[in-house]
Amino acid sequence: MAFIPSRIKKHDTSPRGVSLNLTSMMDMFTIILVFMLKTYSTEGQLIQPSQNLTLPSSTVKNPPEIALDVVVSKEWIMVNNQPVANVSEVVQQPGLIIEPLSRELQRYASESRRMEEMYGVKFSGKVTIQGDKELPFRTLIKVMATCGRSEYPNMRLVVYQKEA
Amino acid sequence: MAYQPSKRSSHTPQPVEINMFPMMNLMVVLIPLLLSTATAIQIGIIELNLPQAAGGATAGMQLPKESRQNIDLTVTITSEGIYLSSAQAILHNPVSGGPTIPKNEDGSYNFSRLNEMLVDIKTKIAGGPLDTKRIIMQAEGDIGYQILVSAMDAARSFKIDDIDHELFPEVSISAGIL
Repeated sequence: MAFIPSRIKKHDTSPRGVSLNLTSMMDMFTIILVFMLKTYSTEGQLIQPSQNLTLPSSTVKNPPEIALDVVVSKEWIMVNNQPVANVSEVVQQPGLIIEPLSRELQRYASESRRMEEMYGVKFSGKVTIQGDKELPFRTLIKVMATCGRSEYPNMRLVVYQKEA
Repeated sequence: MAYQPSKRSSHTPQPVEINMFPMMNLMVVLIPLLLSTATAIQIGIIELNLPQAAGGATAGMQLPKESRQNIDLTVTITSEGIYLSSAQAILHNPVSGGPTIPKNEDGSYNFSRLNEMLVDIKTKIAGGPLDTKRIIMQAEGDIGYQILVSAMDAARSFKIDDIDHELFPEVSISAGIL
């Protein structure tokens, strides 16, 4: 006997929704979301790596701190993003102290001391140094010596953390 | 004829699907947000222990104790290799008489050897001098920053079974041989 199509089903117009199965996608999203919330740091970036330089990488684990920012890029020495001295001039000058940098640092130091007197924000003499990874030691030591003589003896070198 | 209950009222209920679209919307917004704020590169800082003379202007810095008992272990990076020295003597290479740790054949510095030698020194001086955590770094003028940082890494700690042990974490930088 030949198959006869059902007459009832032929006129069945009730919506038969083709539903997308989202459960697996939801699982995935939930895992990603939990993972990202876990790795999310509320501190944000305390130190913004400067343009025009590549920091060296190190296995050090210390987290960054906020401090006065001295950047030694390929062309300029900057304090809080304000250029103060040209690197090529610094390389040529004799002696360890970079005069314009020293003046600028002492200005910041006296400002900080005034803040300390007025508002009690302790002046700790902390400075972070960001240098290009190819910066020669000659230039670096001049910057560090200048910081040391200009009331900022607590220096920290900013580096990228890498896995050991 | 007995009353027969309606067949329509006893049909099995259709499975109720949860409306997942609000949740989907949430996810689609939250995930890009978190992705964009995630920090791809971690930044760290190396704390330096200054040679005391450079910080002379600041009050509150402690003066060095009897320098007699300090070993003043120094790592000197030159274009030929790495020298190790103390207050008393320079450690020469027994084979060539040149740098303590000569460069590798491809011109890179042998930081793993430096690490090994410092571990050796650390065990030998244990309990002796006062400054068993301090090391002084100096370099020739042309040595790059990355090499200096790598040398500090080699001097900071050593690994046994993937656990870091302290070596010489207090690094001072010296302008000795410019």
